[in-house]
Amino acid sequence: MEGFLLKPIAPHLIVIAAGCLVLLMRAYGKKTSAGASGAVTLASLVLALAASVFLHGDAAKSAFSGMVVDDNFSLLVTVLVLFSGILCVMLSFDYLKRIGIAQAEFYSLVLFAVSGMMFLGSASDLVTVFLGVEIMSISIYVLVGFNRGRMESTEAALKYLILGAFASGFLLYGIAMIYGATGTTNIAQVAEFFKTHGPSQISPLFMVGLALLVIGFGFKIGAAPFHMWVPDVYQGAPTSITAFMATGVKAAGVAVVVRVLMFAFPESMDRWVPLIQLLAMVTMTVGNIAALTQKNLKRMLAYSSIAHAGYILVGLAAVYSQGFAEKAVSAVFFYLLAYTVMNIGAFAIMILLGRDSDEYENIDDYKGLAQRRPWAAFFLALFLLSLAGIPPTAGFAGKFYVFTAAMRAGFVALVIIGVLNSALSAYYYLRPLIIMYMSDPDADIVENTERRPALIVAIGVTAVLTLELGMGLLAYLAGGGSYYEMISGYLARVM
Amino acid sequence: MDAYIAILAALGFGVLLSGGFMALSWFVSFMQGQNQPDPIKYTTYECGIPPKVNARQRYTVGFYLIALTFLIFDVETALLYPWANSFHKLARELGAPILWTMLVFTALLVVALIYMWKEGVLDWARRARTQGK
Amino acid sequence: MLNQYLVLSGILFTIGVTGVLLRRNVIVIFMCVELMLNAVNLSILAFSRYHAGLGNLDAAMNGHALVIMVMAVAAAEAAVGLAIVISIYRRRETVDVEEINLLKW
Repeated sequence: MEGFLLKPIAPHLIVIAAGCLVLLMRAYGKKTSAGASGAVTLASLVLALAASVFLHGDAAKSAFSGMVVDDNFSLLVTVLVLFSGILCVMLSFDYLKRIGIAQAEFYSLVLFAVSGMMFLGSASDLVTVFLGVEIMSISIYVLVGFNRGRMESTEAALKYLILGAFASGFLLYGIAMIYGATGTTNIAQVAEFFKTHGPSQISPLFMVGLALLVIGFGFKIGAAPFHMWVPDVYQGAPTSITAFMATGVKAAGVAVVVRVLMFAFPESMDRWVPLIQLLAMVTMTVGNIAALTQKNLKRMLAYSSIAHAGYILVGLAAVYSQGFAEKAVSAVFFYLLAYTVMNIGAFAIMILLGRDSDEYENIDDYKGLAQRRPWAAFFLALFLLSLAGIPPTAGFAGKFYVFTAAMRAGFVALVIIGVLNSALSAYYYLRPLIIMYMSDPDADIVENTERRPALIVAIGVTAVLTLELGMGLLAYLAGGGSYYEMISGYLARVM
Repeated sequence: MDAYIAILAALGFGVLLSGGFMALSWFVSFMQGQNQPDPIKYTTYECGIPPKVNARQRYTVGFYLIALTFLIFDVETALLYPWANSFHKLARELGAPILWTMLVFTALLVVALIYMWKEGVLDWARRARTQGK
Repeated sequence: MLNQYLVLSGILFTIGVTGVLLRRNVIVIFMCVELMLNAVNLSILAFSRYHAGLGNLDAAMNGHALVIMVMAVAAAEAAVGLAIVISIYRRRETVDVEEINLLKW
């Protein structure tokens, strides 16, 4: 009897306890500054990161009657979302103060959202999947509307809430149908059911359930044609939350798609891989074409995040290759990591330059930035080049691994569409670059000149990692160790 | 596949039925004669005291806060029910952890309660007093 | 009996989806979302009963637990939703989604 082992969920417990602590600090000490809560938050996230790495054993351990599991897969997800959470908190310190919403509740909601994401990573039961999705989403709904004084923020929260709850309905209906078809909600037992009963048991009920699950997850990760909320919500949300949603929420969503599809339905792969392929094609194309005409940098990054969800789905479709599934999933994880660092970096620059309540989000605001703030312009250029997938950056390495995996699975058409899309995307990523370096500065645009140490650290870390992950590709091609090899080494043991 | 034909048939039957009722009521009102509007017909109930103000007034936000609080705490109690029901059997099999897990859950609710209390959500009377002045 | 319950749940779910897509009042939209979740609850309970009939009592209990979880989660979601609606109403004096359109859909 595995019973109630607490070790597999120790990092989760640290994060939840810290969330409660921050709330109580706020309740009992009205004078406690938001900065102190932020510091507690940052410390607890780092502690949880350390706990998840050091308490992790090589063997998979499940707990709570198979509701959660601690394996290499969940370790990767946990590290990824905690990393994204830490960067988000670092981005928030000055930003919240500047726009006047520095409140302790913000940090406790971030902590609760992170705990939901961690539960998504270590879910081994569809009930845990549902609860994780909801813990994450409900916290994020509130965070999106946290800037109550700004109408766009509350409106974005309302839109996200309506569509998020709508998607949860589909997700839950899918879970219900799979439960009806198999009589269990445990992911391992669902897989076992199909292994023993054979493909003849793949009933229409199960297929409808699978399709509904994919729709529900598609909403959560912002894949086309379920993407219409993404630009509005990303634009309306506080910028640090936008960065968090684009990276953490997406990473957790993709992770749970992989977990459910790969671990519960490996037998019916030939049914869901075409679905994922189709989603990938539509998502990449829609995201990139819509991003072309955007004049608002935040909105452009929102559409670009749709496009990146498409590239990630290409990697997910590539699990179809016989015997190389873990390579494809490692490519997906590497892409998520690369996307996290370069995207948060780009948002960090936006926050760094913003002044007072001005969001500094029009692309025209960046005219001649290279003359006024050469370093900020340089780093923004680095992150944009990486998002466009220009070597030697992390974005290029990510695309390389994902497309290689898809080639290995024999999806040539998918790869061609992906590469064409990357070429298309270069246009809108390079336009801000040209504006920064080629045009003359506008006299009436003044950006912030204060020192913001937390942001500088975040930008430094993301910039170094962007280059480091990109350079890793060379080591990989030369046959040496790289991050990608490390990830696939971890995954090979559970897949 | 038979089960799905039944679903389709039921859906079709529902649409037909509701469409039929709509058509019927429309037809009956059409046969009954023409529409003769009249200011008195548009007043509330055509009898009684004429309303003085619009019924859709704004209430103090305190009502909503109490409603939301009630909603959360009332429904979260539903989670206690199956636990209480199977407590004896599970406690014999699994021991003390059965109690702890629910204590943790309750502790989380208590944290929420303390937070609300300190934020003044439950301080209903003072809110009304300060708003009245 | 399973089929009838599934049909009813499917019809309720469809009404919910239609309502979310067509109605303009946010409160009604929330009611429709709740309808969707509760339609799913109905079908989970029907499946649970069906598995109990097959003699699989563990599976039946799983379904009951899931339904109670969903109810609790739906309440939390409704509370957050109403809070957001209140904060919008205090600024805008409207709950009509067609008028809440600062950002283009």
